[in-house]
Amino acid sequence: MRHKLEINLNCEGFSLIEVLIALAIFMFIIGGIVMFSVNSIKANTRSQSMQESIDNARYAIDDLTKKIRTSSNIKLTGNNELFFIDNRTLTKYCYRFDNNQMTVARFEPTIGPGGSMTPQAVNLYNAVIDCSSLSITKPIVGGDNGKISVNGKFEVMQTNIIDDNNPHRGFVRIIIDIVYGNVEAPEDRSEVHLQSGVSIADYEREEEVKFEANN
Amino acid sequence: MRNKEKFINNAEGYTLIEVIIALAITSIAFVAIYALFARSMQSDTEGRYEIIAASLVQEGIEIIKNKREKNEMDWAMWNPTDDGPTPPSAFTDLNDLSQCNPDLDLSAINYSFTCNGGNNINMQYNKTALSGKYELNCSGSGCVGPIFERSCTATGIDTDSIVGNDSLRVVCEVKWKSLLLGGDKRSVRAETVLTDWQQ
Repeated sequence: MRHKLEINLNCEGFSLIEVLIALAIFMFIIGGIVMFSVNSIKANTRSQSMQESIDNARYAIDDLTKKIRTSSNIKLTGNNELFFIDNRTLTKYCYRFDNNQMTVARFEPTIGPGGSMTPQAVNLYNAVIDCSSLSITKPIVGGDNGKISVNGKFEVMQTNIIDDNNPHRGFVRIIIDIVYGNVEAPEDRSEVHLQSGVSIADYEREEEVKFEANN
Repeated sequence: MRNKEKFINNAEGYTLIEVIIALAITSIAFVAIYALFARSMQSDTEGRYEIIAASLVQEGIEIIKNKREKNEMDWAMWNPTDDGPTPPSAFTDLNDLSQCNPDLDLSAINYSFTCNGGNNINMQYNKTALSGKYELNCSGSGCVGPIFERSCTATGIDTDSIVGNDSLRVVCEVKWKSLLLGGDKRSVRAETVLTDWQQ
């Protein structure tokens, strides 16, 4: 008890300088920890966003590969629009990179019972000849997060055949660029470029798939 | 109780040695935390490279598949009695389809080739507006990201022992310098068997 009293008496407190230095050191350490946490959270958000878009892009590539393999009438129009007709389902597709998204538009034939189509349905189907006829698009990569921008391009190549009278084969290369963030904040920016391709056996079908109206 | 009293009475501040030791311990802890963070960022990037490599592997296999379709048209390739061109020693460039000549005769018995003459081809993303794709031996300021090395090998295989080689085993591999393995290479590998779809 005596000792304790003595200690209390001897305690003269901290000087202002001491307190300031202690506070400065403390702030410095806390500042570092906060910065570290903020960076971790940012990195986590960035990583999640990117991963989601990459998953979508992988799905888009796989899906596109499957469709293009059974397609013909492949047209690469200006502004990176890929138009083709899937011969398996006779659906017409348009894939494009637009407004920082990869989008798809499609048109299916309306086939009635017994495989018949009304003249109107036939006219509607035949009128779709390129991407400009398909206006209702659905985003498949990007679009749900303002920080993600998706661009890319398609390359359509014809495989050279020795005898030019033989049907040609083709190859479509798909490139998808996913960028998170912007150039103003390079420390919180991330980008991934995916590239894949698909070989087409029926690249050059001359005649377009057309339905005849039957009554 | 006595010990406590003694301790309090003797408390005359820290010696320099004590402070240094305390600082060292704290630093080690912080360095460990930071290293963990850096490592997790690297794993994240590495995972991304793996996805890119998987796409490039897929493209490599599709290029060989395209060769099959072309050869089927040019040479009816799977029939060993057909006269085909002399088997090439190598494709000069797997990346660029227009250069993916000379033609490959898959009908030759026990025929095996690599699309790049045995050497890996180096591909890097070129971000300039004109290209915007993975290019062979990319050079210039537009080349970003890791260098991917792609190699594909196709080997004729005989599955039914009747007409010689009736299938083609295609193996593609993409390698890159790993961030996690201290510069050692990691790779993604895919294998498929292409069959004679004319028979």
